[in-house]
Amino acid sequence: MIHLLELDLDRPSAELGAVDGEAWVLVRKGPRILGELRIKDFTASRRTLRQMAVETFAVALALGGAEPDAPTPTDRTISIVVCTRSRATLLSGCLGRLVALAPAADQILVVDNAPEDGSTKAVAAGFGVDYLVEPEPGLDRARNAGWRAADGDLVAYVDDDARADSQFAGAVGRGFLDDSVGAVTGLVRPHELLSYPQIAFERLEGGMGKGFDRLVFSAGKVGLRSYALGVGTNMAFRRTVLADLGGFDPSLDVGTPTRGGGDLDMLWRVLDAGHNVVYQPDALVRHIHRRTRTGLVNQFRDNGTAYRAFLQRRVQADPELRSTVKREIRRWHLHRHLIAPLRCIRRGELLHLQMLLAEAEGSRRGVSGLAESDAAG
Amino acid sequence: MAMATSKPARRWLVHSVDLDTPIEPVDMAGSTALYLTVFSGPDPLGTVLVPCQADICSATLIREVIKPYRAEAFKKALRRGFDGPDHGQLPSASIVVCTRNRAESLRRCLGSLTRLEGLSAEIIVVDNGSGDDGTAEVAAGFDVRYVFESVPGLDRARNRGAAEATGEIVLYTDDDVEVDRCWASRLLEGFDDPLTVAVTGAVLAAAMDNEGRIEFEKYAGFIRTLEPLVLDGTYTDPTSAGRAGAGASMAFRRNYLLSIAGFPEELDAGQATSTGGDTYALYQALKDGLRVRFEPRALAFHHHRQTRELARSAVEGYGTGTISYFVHGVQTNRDPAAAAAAVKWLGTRTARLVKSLALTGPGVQSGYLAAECRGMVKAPTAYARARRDVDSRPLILQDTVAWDPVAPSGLPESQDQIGDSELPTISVVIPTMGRDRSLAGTLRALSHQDYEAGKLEVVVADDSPDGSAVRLLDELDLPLAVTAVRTGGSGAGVARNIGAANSDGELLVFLDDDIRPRLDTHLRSIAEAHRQGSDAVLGPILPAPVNDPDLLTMAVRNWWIDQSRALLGKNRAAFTDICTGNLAVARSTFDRIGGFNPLPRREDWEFGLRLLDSGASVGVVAAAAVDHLDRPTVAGSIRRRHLEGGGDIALARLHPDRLNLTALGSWLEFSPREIRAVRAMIANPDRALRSAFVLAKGLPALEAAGSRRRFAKLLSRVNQSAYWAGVGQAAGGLEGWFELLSAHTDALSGHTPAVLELTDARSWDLPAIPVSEVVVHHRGEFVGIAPVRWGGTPWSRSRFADTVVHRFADNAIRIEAIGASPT
Repeated sequence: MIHLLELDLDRPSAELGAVDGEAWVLVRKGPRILGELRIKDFTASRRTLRQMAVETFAVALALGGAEPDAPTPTDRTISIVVCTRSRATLLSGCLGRLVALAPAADQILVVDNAPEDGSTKAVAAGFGVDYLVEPEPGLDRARNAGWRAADGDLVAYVDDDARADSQFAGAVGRGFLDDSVGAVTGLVRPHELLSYPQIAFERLEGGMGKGFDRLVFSAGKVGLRSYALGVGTNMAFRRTVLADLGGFDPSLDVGTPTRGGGDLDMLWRVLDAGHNVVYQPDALVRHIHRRTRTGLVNQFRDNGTAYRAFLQRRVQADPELRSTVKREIRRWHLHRHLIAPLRCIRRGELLHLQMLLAEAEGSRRGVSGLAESDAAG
Repeated sequence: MAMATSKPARRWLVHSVDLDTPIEPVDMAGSTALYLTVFSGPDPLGTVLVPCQADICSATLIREVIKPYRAEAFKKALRRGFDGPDHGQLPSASIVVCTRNRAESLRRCLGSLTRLEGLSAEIIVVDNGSGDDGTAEVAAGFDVRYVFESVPGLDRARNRGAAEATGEIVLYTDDDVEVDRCWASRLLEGFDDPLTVAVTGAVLAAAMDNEGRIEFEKYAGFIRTLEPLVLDGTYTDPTSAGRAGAGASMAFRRNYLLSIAGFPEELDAGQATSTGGDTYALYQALKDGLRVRFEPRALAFHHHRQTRELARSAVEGYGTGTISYFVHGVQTNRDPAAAAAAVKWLGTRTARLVKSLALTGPGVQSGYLAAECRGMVKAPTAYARARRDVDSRPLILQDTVAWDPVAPSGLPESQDQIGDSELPTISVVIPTMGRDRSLAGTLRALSHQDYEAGKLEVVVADDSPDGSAVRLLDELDLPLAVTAVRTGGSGAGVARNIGAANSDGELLVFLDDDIRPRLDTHLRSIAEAHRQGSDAVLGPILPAPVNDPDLLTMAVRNWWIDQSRALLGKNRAAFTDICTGNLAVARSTFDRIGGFNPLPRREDWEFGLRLLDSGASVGVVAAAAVDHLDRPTVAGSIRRRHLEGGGDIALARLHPDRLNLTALGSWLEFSPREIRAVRAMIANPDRALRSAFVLAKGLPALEAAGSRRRFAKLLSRVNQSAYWAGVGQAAGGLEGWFELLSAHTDALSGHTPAVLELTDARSWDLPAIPVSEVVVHHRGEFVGIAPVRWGGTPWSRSRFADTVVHRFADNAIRIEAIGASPT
């Protein structure tokens, strides 16, 4: 296992208990997250760890980048929406962090998607947060119900298997730098690295992180690869933007045969409509990665289906994109499902090979999945 | 579900932002993005696009997007701390604007030119056959000279401008350009260096408010780099002249332009070739082994073409112009490199077009590439047509003026003349070795000196075995008191000592037999400096102009000119500046420090070292400039390097603490790979010397092929081999070398190195620093150790600052970070 620690340069007395073996230390300066130090053998004292952090993140510390941004305008309220289905234990872990945010969110809303029992409702009631039911299965349906019922100007989505950082709400708000920003995505770090599949996911695929630099995306910058913008477990939108764009595509994502892709689709459309998307690493959630091999491989199968369905949706929405989409599919298969697997074979990374092949296999169900999903809707 | 909303047309707002000042929000005024040029003070760092479809683009968003430039801005700000004081006297200048039927944009251009700061220059508007009176009317509204040139052709008009200009420098800009207030003075600052004949500036887009202009900037924009650039024709391929910039913002020395007959009239707008004349003139400058500078601080803003069709036709013109200028190079210079460059240019562009078509299919990008290819294909016929047209009429400028890089600076006359009664007696000592003709010339030049005859004597120390110089003196009948002593092959240093012993002037002037004083007040100016308290006097050594110089000659010429300029710019000489070719020493001082030591070479440095250590004051006098008659050959250069290696070792044996101030010190900065190579040379000097001669056989071929970059690289390898072979022979192999190195370390062990503070330029009085290493601090904290050698032989502050800032800026940022995050 790998130990996950946190060092705050603003708190000189912060104790980092010594641990055995490898440790990943998240370095922050108050609300700003600077990056991560990966230390193979954690025997360094607190002082030298601090020095290492200062050296590594010198540019940000010295040349401005470590100062907090101007605070979010107070007239901008934020609602955090958690869509869940029959995972009461996970949800209570998630809500536990959300109710303790500082600054607090203006509203926390649990959307129970096609509930099988009353456990979710009980948990939500226990934390005293808003609760509503979306009877039709489908994550995007739940997300739509969420923003429609939310009061906040900003709607942040957090999955039930994610654990928000205490400064999450403030960081999301500050990510909306100005009126040109339509959506903000945030940093996802692992909550635990206990099992091999969890470590492999981080090491081989880079987890769900997009790095520690704040990035501003605009239309054209990432082409169709909207997975580069962020992930659905940590994204936030201006509510008016969601309303203008008609919300999430109910045919997509978990709970439908497309198995995902609702986040990709929404972020792409936000960009396409001329809004900027900001990747805000300060908005941190810690995600509980799949602990088992089967879980991880299934996740990749679903990813494959989801991305293919997303691309199919693009062609349907705008036939002019046909050749662009074709090229993207070719590139995707070539790199992810031919070159990368060969590299895995050479290096003997069997789990990674399995993941990639599962993704390729999943991609074959994308088009039919979308059709099925549309027919059902 | 919602479909993609209809997208607004692109409209970019051109804006600039300075990282050193607080960033302000920007009113977008309906634009879809900000096109930002990022500055750090006066230095442009780059351009960046900030998409923003809101009314106001917030300061936070701008700050976020320009974040990657922070470290660079920090470096630039540090470096600016070492910029010298403002240039005192800028050369006189004329600004030439060539125009044709564009009265409105000319008005805008002239408006910006009248707002220029820091100089007064005449402005000449060359009307290249406008059909209406608008141009003349606009010109009449400003304080400019209006010249009408009826023969069409932009280069024709530019030449007319040069012919009409009275300034030393001619600055060119186009009528569709607006210039920054500091544009002219920044361009002129670059002419500080006499070898620089052209300076170009950065050309940014003035507006990008529609699709055509946005595409123009992307596919035909002028920005290639925003880093300052010095292209030196002795080691840069002339065909890469296009890197420097273009006619929208450039300045030439007028004399140089006249010497190359101006811009070729076959090229550029108004002819079928469309463009290329500006680049060709830059190419010609590099071809002559001179320098072209790109000064990004000199800003001009170009109003791009409005529509895609116009932008494409401009790109097509670039294709034609580029190939045409290569063709012109082949035609007039028989330059094989120009032919090769044309083929390469064609190949890469076509390949790019094919790739673009294969990957993305026909589109905007391939459209522009196709236009450029179309232009290239047209080039030969276009050039032939232009050629016929030009051949049928006389040119404006004829290449009648010869140009000498040393001449234009106008060496200062020696100031107040002193009375004859106060003149000290002078003994000129000239060691010679069988170069009678050259010696005769030197003596003749001396006989023209304006100096009281009774106070001047010349002693020729004839070191040749047969005493030919003695016979020569009998044949020459000069109005000079010349005596000859035979020194019998004891080496130049000892010959000078004997010459000095056989003379009795108060002031000893050492000249070499291939040195000619430039001015007839040479000895007077030295005497004047001596009277004002200098124990020793140095003067610049300048290469005498050579007809049709080869590459090596040009490189050596540039070296000497740089050296002289650096010497004149310094307030204190270093021992490596002491050169016996042109040195005057008071006899009392000469006797006190005991004359020259018998070294195979570097006896001058060794002498200079003792001279400076003795506390003697050394003056540098510009009027004491001499011409050095030298036609260097590769074999001669190898032999010289070889001797210098031995000389440096002999010097290091006498003064081990100064080892690293000679070229030997480069050992201390070598990478492990270089160390391995040099070790082998020292261990086996004979083989290294042989290999130097073998490698040198490749040089003529490279020169013939016009591949100057490769030539310079190979030459430096040849010189390295020869030098370290000399070191190996003199040191007695590796063992001897390592003994010397450890002696050096021991000698330095006692001393405390000087401390330079990065944030305090005043602590950088380099020539005053007697030691070889300096400790560099940033805000009082250690950031590194720098060998003073980085400044080169003449410790040049700006070069040293460049290197130190480049190496230690990252450490300085760390120091700042620790300061910003207290425990």
